[in-house]
Amino acid sequence: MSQSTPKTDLPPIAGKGMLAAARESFILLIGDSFAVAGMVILTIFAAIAIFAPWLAPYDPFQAMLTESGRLLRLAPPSSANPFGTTAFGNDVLSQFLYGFRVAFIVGLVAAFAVGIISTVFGVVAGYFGGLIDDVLMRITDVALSIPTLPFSIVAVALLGPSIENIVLVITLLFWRNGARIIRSAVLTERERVYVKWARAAGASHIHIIMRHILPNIFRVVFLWITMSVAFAVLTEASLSFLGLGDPTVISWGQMLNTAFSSGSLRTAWWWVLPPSLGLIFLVSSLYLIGRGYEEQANPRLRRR
Amino acid sequence: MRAYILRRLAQAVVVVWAVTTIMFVMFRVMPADPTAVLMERGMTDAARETLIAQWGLSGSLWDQYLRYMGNLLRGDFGSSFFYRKPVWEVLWPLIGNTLWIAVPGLLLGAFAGAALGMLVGWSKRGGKIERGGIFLATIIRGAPSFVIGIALLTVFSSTLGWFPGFGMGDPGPTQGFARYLTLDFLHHLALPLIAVIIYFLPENLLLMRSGVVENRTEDYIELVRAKGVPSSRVAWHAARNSLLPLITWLFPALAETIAGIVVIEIVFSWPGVGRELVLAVTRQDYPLAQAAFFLLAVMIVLANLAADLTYGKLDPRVVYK
Amino acid sequence: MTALQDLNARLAQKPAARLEVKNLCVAYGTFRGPFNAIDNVSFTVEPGTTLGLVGESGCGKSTVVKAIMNLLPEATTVTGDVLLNGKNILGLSDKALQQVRWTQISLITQSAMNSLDPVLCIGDQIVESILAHEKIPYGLAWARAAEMFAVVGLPAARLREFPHQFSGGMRQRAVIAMALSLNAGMLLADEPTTALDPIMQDQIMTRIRGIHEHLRRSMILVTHDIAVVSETCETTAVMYAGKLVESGATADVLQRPRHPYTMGLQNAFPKLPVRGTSRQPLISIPGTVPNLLMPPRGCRFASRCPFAAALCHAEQPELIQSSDGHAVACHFAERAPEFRLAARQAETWRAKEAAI
Repeated sequence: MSQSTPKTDLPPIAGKGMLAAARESFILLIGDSFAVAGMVILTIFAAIAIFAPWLAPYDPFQAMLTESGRLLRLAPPSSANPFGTTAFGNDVLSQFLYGFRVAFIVGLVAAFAVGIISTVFGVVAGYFGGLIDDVLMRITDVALSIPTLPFSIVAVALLGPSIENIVLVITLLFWRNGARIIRSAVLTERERVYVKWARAAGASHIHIIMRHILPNIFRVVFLWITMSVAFAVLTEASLSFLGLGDPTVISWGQMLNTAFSSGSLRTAWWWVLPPSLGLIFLVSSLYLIGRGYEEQANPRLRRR
Repeated sequence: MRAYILRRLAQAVVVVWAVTTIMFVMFRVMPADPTAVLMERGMTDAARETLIAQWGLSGSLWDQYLRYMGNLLRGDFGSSFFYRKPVWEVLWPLIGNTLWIAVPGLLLGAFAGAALGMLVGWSKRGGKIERGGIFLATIIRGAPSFVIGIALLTVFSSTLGWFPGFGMGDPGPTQGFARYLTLDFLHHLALPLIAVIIYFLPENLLLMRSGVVENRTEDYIELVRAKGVPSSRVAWHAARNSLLPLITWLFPALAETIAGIVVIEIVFSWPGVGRELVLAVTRQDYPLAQAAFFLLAVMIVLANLAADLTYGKLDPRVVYK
Repeated sequence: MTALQDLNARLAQKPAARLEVKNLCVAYGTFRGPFNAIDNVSFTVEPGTTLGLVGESGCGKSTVVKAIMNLLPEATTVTGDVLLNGKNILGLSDKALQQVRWTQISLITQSAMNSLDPVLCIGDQIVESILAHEKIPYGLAWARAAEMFAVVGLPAARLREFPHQFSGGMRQRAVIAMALSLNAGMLLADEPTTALDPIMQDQIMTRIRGIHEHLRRSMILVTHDIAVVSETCETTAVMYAGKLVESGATADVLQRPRHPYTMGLQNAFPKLPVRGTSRQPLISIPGTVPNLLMPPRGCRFASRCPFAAALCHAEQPELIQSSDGHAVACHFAERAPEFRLAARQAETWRAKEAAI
């Protein structure tokens, strides 16, 4: 039998950069048609969110009036109001378009905050272990028993309903799951041969974390951030639907809350449908990306 | 086994203690002026004093905390501002109502999701069933609970008129448990229950499917096939093994699922704990909100405990220490 | 007669099977084109005999077994014939396959570690294989399973235990017991000892030989261990890179190998020193197995063969059977005696290694 030297699949001692990791992830993503569909939807939605003020025909709070000067309540779609009007005479299309902004702002800011906090805690706990790790695990044990929405309801009600507070509460709630997931990924990476080599070669902790650990857990962090955006959007929508949204902005959850509480569900389908579909498509496109990514990155799920 | 259950119970107690501490922070520390949160408008000074005494809002934060824990240990959550009676009197009857949609909803959602997930996972890779199943499940999973509720309400209640969309029906002369056995109650139960099932199902489906797909390439499945058992039996083996990760995944999912139930209770005006929590918060009835929150947290702790013990039953590799 | 004796007697009447594999080809579909894991493999197992299928890892031995059992993934193309008692079982419908599996042909898997369902007790897994084919009460199937446990030397009480409670050797024995549960005429043993330590390997092989003597089933024993083959098998087939390079009676193939690969394979295994002779050094075959995504035009062993000539690189040798049943696929098979002498010298192989 051959006595060839064992093949080593070790990455170079210098590790790889975050950009390389991001590019690898992107290549994996475009291999899954569902994930591509999700990314297309997300891109279109993001464009709408950015250009909402230019796309919206009216101010979302502007009251439409009939020719006789009365409030144009619950008007079905027409050329003037393509998506009809609400029970308070507002243009549904304009509200719907502005709703993209709130969803995106909440999703992105919360995901950013959650992503950073989860990653920092996860990496520190996983990499250094010890007391920090123990404390983190105990905290997440308890935090997992906190019912998320009831907590947000009470916290937002006590802090006052505003976008900032909603994002704060979402961050408070969701960093824990992420920290736990990322921690276990770091634990696996920490034990890899090349990390030990790098350490033996005298590389600093920062160098090891930046060049070896982070690029290799990029996949986990990416997945977690996609999920966080989805959770954040859903939580904001639920809070707004329950009447705890920021009253100064228009969000999809709020639109549905108004439609629901004004008893217009049955008649005003044009009012109910756009925000419902907007939420479904936004959240599912995130799930499609996350799922497609998992499918490609997990060798046990990949099609052979 | 007994020691294990006792230890898990002890852990649960610790978690409940931590939750109550978090509640203390939420209701007493987070608001700038805790008294303002608890005060009602137009209260007399005497009533104010009574309230401060009752809620233990005097003294240092530490004193307050000790008094607060003392009250909780005695089960004293105070009186509802809105109903003007002890919160437990308000909440007790609602617990059953929440359980009526939560327990069957979660169980049916889990079973149906697992069954469908097995079907999708066992179907041809890249085939119509797999792709269609995953796509539909992901879309429905992306639908917020109130959107599901609103859709059901609009279609089956407002438009078709098949089901009532409001409340639990008239209790009538029957009292106690018997009221839950009337057709009228079941009729009212249908839509919110279906909403919980639909809300909970896709996650289970997708998890089960991943598990089955991962398991179907395992060595033991090959040997089972080689034994010449029907393919449904082979699928059963894969599904049986996929249940284990499914259950571990359900632990953290439970907390989020309760969230869905709160919203569904609101949509269908189902008089449960979750709906009462939202109402209490909007009415600034904090003693009631606090107790309702506590109840929901305890439900999650108990559900986690149940899931944990079920896992031990399903996986022979788990050893109780 | 008790029901169990009745069942045992009925199963004992099953004759040993004859298996004929003809022109078996297996191609896995990969993203970079078909991967020809098995190329035109033919052999016959006579009733009651054992065929040893040897070769280094990755040569396609296990794929042959899976192809015979129809266990290859859906995306695989399998052509050729697998005749079990004269009936082709390749490409049978699921229903028809279910009836053949385990009643006529059963499997002892590689890595018994993962071959058992982790969440089902072992007794139930054996009972499952019996009840899939016999309309008998559960208790009777359990009794039969206990009997099979006795055959492999495991106490019946341990039927109630789960795979994780068994050691590697016990799991392997349990898998053998399961393969015997319906006394199938044909047993396929796919590296039954690979995952075990040497002492356990020896115990298991002794057990398998004992069972073979006792039950006289036909068997294919897949292994990379030449010593196991020489002790256990009547006939031997040697595979290299998806092709059969040599087959025949074990004594012929191992003592008078005609293919340079077989000669090299023998060198690579330690032999007990014969008194009075010098200890033979282990000689390894230089080079690596060719990439089967782009198989070489000529003989697949040519790149590693110390005796390869221009013809070997240009043309594939046919498997040619001589009158004594000894078949070999080598252009220079007639020069085998000369090669055998040279192949014993380490220098021969070292020279090739230097040339690569």
